[in-house]
Order: sequence, then C-alpha cells, then structure tokens
Amino acid sequence: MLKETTLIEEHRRCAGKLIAFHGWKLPLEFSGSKEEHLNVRKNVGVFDVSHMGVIRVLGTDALKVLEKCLTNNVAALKKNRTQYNLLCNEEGGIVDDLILYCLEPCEDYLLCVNAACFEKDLEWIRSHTLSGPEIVRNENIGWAQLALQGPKAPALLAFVLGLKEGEELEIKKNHCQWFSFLGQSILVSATGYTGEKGFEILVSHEKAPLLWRGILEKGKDFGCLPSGLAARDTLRMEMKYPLYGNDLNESIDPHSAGLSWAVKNPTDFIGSEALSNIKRQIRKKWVGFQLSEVAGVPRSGSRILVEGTPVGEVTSGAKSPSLDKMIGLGYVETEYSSPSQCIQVEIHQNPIPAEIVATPFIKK
Amino acid sequence: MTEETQRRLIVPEDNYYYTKTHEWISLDDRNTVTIGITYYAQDRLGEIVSWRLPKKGQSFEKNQIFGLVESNKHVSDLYLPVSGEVVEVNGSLTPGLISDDPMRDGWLVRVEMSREGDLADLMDPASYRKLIEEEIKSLE
Repeated sequence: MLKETTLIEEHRRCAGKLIAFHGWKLPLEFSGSKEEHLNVRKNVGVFDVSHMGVIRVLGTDALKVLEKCLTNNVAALKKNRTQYNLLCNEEGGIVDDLILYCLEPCEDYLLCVNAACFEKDLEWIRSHTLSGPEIVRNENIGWAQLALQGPKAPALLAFVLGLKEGEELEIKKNHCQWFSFLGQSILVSATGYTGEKGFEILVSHEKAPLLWRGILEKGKDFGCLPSGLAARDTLRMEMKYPLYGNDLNESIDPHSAGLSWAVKNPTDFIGSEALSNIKRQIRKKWVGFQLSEVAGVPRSGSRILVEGTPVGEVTSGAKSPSLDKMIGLGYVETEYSSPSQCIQVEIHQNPIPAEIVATPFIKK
Repeated sequence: MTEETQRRLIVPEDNYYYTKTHEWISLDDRNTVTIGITYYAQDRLGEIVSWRLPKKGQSFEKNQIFGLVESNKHVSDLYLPVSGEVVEVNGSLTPGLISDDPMRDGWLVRVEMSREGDLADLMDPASYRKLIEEEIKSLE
C-alpha cells in the first residue's frame, strides 16, 4: 500500500500523473515535465516534497550526537542556518545525504533526509545516541514539505505570506526563517534542488493544502506551475546535484563523489579515519558527460568505455530540457575524469561517442 | 474528469486493434497495417525523448520486439502484434509528434502482414478500454 502525502487531493485536482516512488504516491508530472522544467528556470514552480523524511535531534547531547554521525562542521552552524551534510559508515561509504537545520545551536536541529533512507537514518542516529532514543524524534508526523523554486519564487512567496506588495522575500542562501501562515508557524529555508533561487518550506499537514492552493492561485501572475518528480530530476541533473540511490550509496565515498567540501568535521566521527585514507588516493571521480548524438537516454548501470575498455559506470541520465541534448552522470577512473576526455557510453548495448564536460551543465 | 484524464482514455474504434502492451494497429487495407503506441502508453511513459525503430524491409514474427520508445524515466520495448515485413517507417517523427499525437501523425511503422489470422487474438477497442480503466483504477 502506497503512502499518500497530505496534498494527494490537490494533485488529483491539478491532474498530476501519479506514480509510486519509494513507497509514496507522488506526481511524476502535471502539464508535462519539459514545460515544468523550463518554467522553473524562467519563472517558478511548486513541488510536493512531503515524502522527504524529517528527523529532529533535540536535547543537551544533540550536538555531540550529530558530530559523531555527520561529516560537515556542525559545531560551526549558527542559529537559523542550514548545511548540506552526509552520514557515513565506518568505511566512509555514504549512508545518506541530507540538509541539517540549526534551530538552536548545540541543542535543537532538524535533518531533512531522503524518503528511502528515513527509517535507516533514524535507526542509525538512535544507535549512536548515548542518552536514549528520546533525543531523536520522528518529525514526519508533523510536517508536509513544499519546494518553491525559480527566479520568481522570492516575489511569489512574499505575496503569499502577505508581505508588502512588490517586495521579495529575502532569505540568504543556506539561511532559514520562521513565518506565520494562517496563524501557524512555517519554516522557510533558502535551499533547493534545482539550481534556481527558491525555498523549501516545512508546513503543518493541516495548512499544507491551503499553502499549495495559495501558491498556485497567487502564482498565476508569476507563471507558477505545479511541478513533478520528473522535472525535479532533470533540474537537479543539469546542476550535477547527486540523487541518493542513483549517484550515491553505501559503497561510494564523499571524495569520489566530489563532495569533499561537505567533509569538514574536525572531530573524530564515524568514517573519519577511512575518509582521510581515501582522500590520499581517489581512484574514481563522479563526472558529467554529454552524448554526441541522441541515441537514447544514458541509464544507471550502463558502462562507460575509453577506446573500448571499461573505465566506469553511468549513475544518472536524461535528455536535458535546457540543452536539448542527452546528458549523464557517472563514475570514471580518475585518469579519465577531465573535461574534454572522449568516452563511449553504452546505450541499448551499443557504445555511443560522448565527452566528459565541465559541470554544472548549465551556467547559473 | 480533467482534460488530461480524458485524453489517455481515447480509444479510437473503426478498424483499430490493441495489445496488452499498449500498441495500436489499424488496418489500412486487406494486408497492410499501421502500428504505434496508444495515448495511454504515452501518458504512462511521459514525454518521449528517444526511440529505435527497424529499417524498411526487416521482417518480424508476431510478438517479437521490433523497437523501443523511451522517456527520461522509462524504456519501453515495442512488440509487433503481427508477423510481417516493415514496408514503411515514419520518417517525420519528432519527440513532440510522438508525445502529442501518438495515434495519428506519431505512428511508428507500416507492416505488410505475412499471415492471415494474426489480428484475431488482438483486443478490440472495448476490451482495451476496460484494460486501461482497470489499470488506472489500481494506480490511483
């Protein structure tokens, strides 16, 4: 039985094409994934991301627990700031990637994690908690989550929240702020998965449908479209943002994935020793490539070759709506990982000429 | 019912046959058929971004894979519902055409049938409509 988000009736009303996604029933697309994608680049789109898991780590040991589990510099995170983070295992493999919100330094944090990893993460953090499980709470029961993304998102959200007309909502990148919406608190963070300006909004289940409808009604003049998972996936691919399960998993380390910038934890954390060893010799790198012809969509697991010899594997691929070209992401041996390197990518069992390119695929 | 929901339920009737794998077949004359994917198939796949089709002159057995269509999310094999030889391939296909008009200008191949009776076990429009309505019900 698939889980439904609070917004399921809104999706039906908007004629969303519903599919199963990691145990959830979610809209793949509404008016069409290409249109939705281009509209986020040009105007603004709204996504239901309520399937994302929310974990709260609360109490006097909160910082200690997070410093043990997370790779980034949690202690440096100030109040109302957000930070991209990784959970790693002892071998340095990535257990999950997430956004950490600091509600109160040292004692109150939210972790926004991948839907498919939610139970695993909860278990993982609990098992590394000294003072008992009450420190880690499952906050999914309390929150729905929307993403409002695109250059017009700041103006639209200001309008929806009843700020002064013509004013843009100013939250700096990686900051978050509480607002009042219909008498309840919502948490707005200037984060996203598209490369555009925009916000991710935690809202109560009770008010979530009203916020969704408010955004669409007030968003008409801004060109706001309800947008689905398919557009979300191509938007993140153009930016080379990793998708856990495709591009990251427990046998991939942050250094190979190009995420060394998120390994800043100065303390002794789970995986720290393994990660310092890996850093000295990175054997493979996560790169972006572009096919020379529209032979098909690069699929996860397909081989990447150099002069006929396998040197890597595809992890994600799509026809990029912005470039109108077939693009992909994958791991290749370090010596073949520089831009302009000629490769072949197996598409429907045939090697197709391709080239490693600089990323992100589009300049922002 | 919304416009989108109605579109995927369009099942033309005159001279059309259907398969469980969501191909349509229209009888052009006694021996020649045109083949493509249904509105419902296109709807499930999302926007088609790439395809592979056989060359003119290639022959296939009934139910053999003759090509594929893919969206960013899925690859779908195409099964030839009749035995025969490909006599024409749609050279004007574009992603827009196959996504927007899969049952007319977005047709895929024309085939000259080599065996009589191959159409007999295909689905009629009423049965196909029932199949997709049941599928939609189970999904939503």
